[in-house]
Amino acid sequence: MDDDLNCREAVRLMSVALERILTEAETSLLQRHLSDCLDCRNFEVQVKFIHRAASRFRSGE
Amino acid sequence: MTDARFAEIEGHRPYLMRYALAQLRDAQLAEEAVQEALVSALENIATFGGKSTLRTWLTSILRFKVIDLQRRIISDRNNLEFTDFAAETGDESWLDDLFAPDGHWKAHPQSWGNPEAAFEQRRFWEVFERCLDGLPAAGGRVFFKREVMGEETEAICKAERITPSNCWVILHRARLGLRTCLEKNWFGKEASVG
Ligand SMILES: [Zn+2]
Repeated sequence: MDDDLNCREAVRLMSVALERILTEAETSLLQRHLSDCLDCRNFEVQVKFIHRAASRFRSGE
Repeated sequence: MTDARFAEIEGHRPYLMRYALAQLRDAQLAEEAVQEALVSALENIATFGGKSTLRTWLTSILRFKVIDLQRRIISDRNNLEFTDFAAETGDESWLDDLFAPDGHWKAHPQSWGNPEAAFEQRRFWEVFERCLDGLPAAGGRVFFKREVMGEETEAICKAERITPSNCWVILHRARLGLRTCLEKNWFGKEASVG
């Protein structure tokens, strides 16, 4: 299968994942990309961090 | 009421303004709601038992003020202006700033080290707020409601009167914008040092 994600598509899927559960096919495509791509792994950590920062911001601590 | 307590409450004003603006979309109304909430908070400070954080307590007071105002303006709703973002066109050219034509990152996301350490630093939160302010207005509102207040995307879209897909694009763009801003103004500088 020649349907590997590029970074732009991987980032889109990561954003989608925050709104709904990914399909199995989407999940495996994303995992495959992440295992090969340090940039997107860094990005993934950052988006999760931003999510936690936003909740902290809410409580003001 | 000590001066220190007063200053502490005042310190939450920018956050409360952001909350009110996200809900009311009108600076003057937001100002009014925050002002009323702060006055009421100062009058009732004795009832603040410290069970929640001060910010959470203040927000709960503000919430009622906002709902009051929303009731008052509901008849004018149709006159409000909404989207300030051309998501309708499905225009994704803004992504071209981030990704090369082959879909790879133009500026590679760096490791942020141990980002949680930033939570303890007041200056980080200043940068965080400045980055929020730098988002397009609709992006800032939607991000605030979704990520800070934890509202459901569907409810947010309805309140903003935009389609779910436009709503999603606005949110996606806001997240990416915030990430770029934090990397540029905080982690790019600090993480490499500490
Ligand atoms: Zn990638």
